[in-house]
Amino acid sequence: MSADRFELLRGTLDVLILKALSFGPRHGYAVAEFLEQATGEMLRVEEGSLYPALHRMQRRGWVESEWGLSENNRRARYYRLTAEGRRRLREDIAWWSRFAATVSGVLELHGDALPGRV
Amino acid sequence: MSESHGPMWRRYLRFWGSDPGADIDEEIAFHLALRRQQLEREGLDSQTAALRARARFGDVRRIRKECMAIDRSENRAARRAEWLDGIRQDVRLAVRSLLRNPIATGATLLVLALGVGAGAAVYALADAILLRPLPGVVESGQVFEVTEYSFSYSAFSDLRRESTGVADLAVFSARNVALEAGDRVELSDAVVVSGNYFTLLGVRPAAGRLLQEVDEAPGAAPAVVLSFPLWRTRFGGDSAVLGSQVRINGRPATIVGVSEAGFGGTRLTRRADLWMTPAAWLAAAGRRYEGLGLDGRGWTWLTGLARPRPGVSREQAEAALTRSASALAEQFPNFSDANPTVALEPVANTTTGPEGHGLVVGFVTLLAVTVGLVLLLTAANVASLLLARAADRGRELATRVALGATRRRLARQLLTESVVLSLAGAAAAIGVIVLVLGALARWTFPGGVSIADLDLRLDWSVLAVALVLAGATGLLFGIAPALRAGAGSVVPTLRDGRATGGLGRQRLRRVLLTAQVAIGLLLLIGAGLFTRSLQRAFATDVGFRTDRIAGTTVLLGLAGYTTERAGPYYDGALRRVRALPGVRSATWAMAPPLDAGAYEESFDVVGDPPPEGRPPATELNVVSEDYFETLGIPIVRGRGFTTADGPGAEHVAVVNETFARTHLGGDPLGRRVVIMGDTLRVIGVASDVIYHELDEAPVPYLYGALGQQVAASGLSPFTLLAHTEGPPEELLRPLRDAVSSQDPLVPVLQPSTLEAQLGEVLLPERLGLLIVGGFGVLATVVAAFGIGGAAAYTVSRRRQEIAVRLALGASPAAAVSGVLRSTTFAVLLGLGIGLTGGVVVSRFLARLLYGLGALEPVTLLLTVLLLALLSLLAAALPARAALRLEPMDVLRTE
Repeated sequence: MSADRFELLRGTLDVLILKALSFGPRHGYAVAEFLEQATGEMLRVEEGSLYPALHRMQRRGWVESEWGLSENNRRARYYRLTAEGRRRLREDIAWWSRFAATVSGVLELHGDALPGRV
Repeated sequence: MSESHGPMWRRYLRFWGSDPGADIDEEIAFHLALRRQQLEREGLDSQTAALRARARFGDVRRIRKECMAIDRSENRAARRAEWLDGIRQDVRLAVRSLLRNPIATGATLLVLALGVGAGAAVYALADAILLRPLPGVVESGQVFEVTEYSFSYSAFSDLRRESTGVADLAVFSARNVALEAGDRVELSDAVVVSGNYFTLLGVRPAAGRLLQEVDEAPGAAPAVVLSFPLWRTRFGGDSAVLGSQVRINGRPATIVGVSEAGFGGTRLTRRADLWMTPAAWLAAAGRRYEGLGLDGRGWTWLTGLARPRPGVSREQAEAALTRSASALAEQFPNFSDANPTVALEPVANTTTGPEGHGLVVGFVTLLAVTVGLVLLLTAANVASLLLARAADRGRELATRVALGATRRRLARQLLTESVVLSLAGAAAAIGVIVLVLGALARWTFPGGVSIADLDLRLDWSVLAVALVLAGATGLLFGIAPALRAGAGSVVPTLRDGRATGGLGRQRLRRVLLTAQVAIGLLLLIGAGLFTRSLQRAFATDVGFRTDRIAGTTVLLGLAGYTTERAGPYYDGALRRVRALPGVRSATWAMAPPLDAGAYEESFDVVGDPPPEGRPPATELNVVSEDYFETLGIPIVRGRGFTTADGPGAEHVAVVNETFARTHLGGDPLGRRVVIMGDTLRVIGVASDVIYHELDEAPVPYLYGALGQQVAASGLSPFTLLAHTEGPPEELLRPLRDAVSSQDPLVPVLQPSTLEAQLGEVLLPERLGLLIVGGFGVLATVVAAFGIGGAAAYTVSRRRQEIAVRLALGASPAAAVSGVLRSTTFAVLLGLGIGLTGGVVVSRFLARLLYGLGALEPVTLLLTVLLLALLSLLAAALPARAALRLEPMDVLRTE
């Protein structure tokens, strides 16, 4: 994977994780499940790479974590959005919508509509 | 991770679990387990499911490492933030707790600031006099002053040539000159130096060039090098003066350069204004030095400086120079001791003259020891204050322990209080340093170093010393309470509301108390000894009148006078002064009383067989009529000088009793003495007096009449002494004006009184009293506070016990003294230790100070008694307060 695509992906991963957590506290596996179901095969990443992302987001104060019991009574670390994380998610959603609209708008242009063409 | 990261970190860990590494492992294991279960549900066998789960997860080790790195950096940042936050909180708490007790805090700060400030000021002084006395000199440790041997110019040339393989040799001699530039004449300190002087020292020019060997060559134009300060103040630091002409004693000379800033010659007692070569100086020196010249060997007026060649030791250089000097003595037996020795003294030790160094070192040591003791006392006092406070705060501290604060945390807080206190003390000390250095600038140091001349700056090293002193004191007094923090067990403290203390703490308190009393007594004994010495000094009969004498010195030699013109000048000035209202009598003297310098001449007694070896020598003074009357020196036989003893009359002399007894025998009157090529008839015997120092042994002394000795001595500095009717200070200005009006071109030195002169003779004692006495009083006050505080604390802690004793019918005195027994013992022990130290100190001071016996029992006993009384008083006040309580009230409330 080239470096710039990786960066793009990482930003994408972050916003998707935030989105996953916006429905309530989840542990890492649940986040992975959510991503898999929500994106299908589109965003196939190593599941492990979620964890550095989660820890990094914790350091930035977007999420906080707490140990709790899982559905099958195992100790699991639950991540939860902070107020800061929520704000971040809203901004990212706005930015992504604009970005996606712009990019797809550009990609849907026909050749003769390009400016500068006589 | 280990637990060595402090309590905050531990709390952090508790919040997350015990170990971030294990946490991540657990988190990953959970994920893999869930994924495996999921895959198994989809139909994979458990082994394949585990493999697939791992494959989907990615590189476990890499991811674990990545997470760890992220967490660690987070923890580091958090730890730093928490640590800083803890410090901030501690400081805030410390300031608040210190402000809660403003008087105690203020007193502590004051004592700390005084102690630390004085300590740093002493360091600045020692630094300027002893540690870096010769800025500008390259490798000053390799430069030596030649002592026990002085050079004629010819001897210098010979010895320098002889010893050139062993050491480089230069010479210097400090002389007063009249420096005339523009239309101003000023008396200046010139140092006459050989051409290689600057090269030998390694001093560099700030402008132009320094003197070189070419300036010494015969026929060279007279050249002058200015000191940096003179160049700045007198010539405005203008490089245009280089190459211009000034007049030295009326003779033209060229300014060739300026020496580097900070260099003022090798004497701190007499900073050089300018340097010139022997030939240039001699040409301008006037007739007094006519015939002496540079070729003669009898006039040994130059002091040597030597820098041994690389690889040559001081001892080797001394031996070689002594050999050369001996060879020279054999060649010219009339001009030197038969067996001269050349000794080399590091030039840093001769900055106050060869004799002054010991005095200066002794004095700085005394200062340092005194200030050190005061600092120790301060530390002990503040430590016991803080200890008492920590005990009083037992409940607060115990509560905090119960709430989960660790002992280390409490210790840190108490230590923070000390650090805050000592930092504030250091800040206040800067003010004290500035004040002390400013006040010192007006003083002259023993040995004659004018402190105003010293390079005393509040530089970084002084500030560093202040900080270190304050920090060390703070640590010293902060560490004991900090170590004891929370040492008592929590439950009884909370239950009873009192710290249980423990034996260790009580012992520590007693040790601190003993130390305070001992140090206080030691300083008080020192102050007592200085007082005693001064008392004896003032009671000493110097043999002449010291009150109501004003004097001023003139330097005819610098004004281009000839001996022919000198006589009328002296007569005229004396007439003008005698005409002043308020002057009873006036006289001239070549050597005024208590002057440090002495004129010595050898003499023969007519009619006596010539003595073996060298002829006897006497101190010599030349005075005008009325000298003995003005100073009130009794004439025990014959008469003093009158106006009749003029140039035309028979030349006469007055001798002192010691002279008459040792050299004249029988009837001294009418005997004849040959001195300075002149035959004098003894017409009187004056009583012995103190000539220079209070503890000097009687020496032979001969007075000649000014009218008859003008040719021999007339151009030396002469001092006019006036006996006044009222306070002599009032006549200082009129005296100077009257003398100046005789000839405005003659340099007149600052007039002063004989009492001030006496004060300068007693300067070491007076400075010592000021310092030791000042600190002694301070120490006593601090110690008294310490004793009072200790007594108050003990009494307050044992009120219950006192109440019980009272209730059981004990007398109040018995009740309290029983409780205060340990305090009393600590004070007595301190007095004993202090007294023992005092005996040692008095032996040491007896060698330094005037009029002290090896043991001064009265002084020692008085000071012990004084401190004992003070202790009693300090302990009695809180004891009385305790007795005023109703026993039953006490027993009910506690």
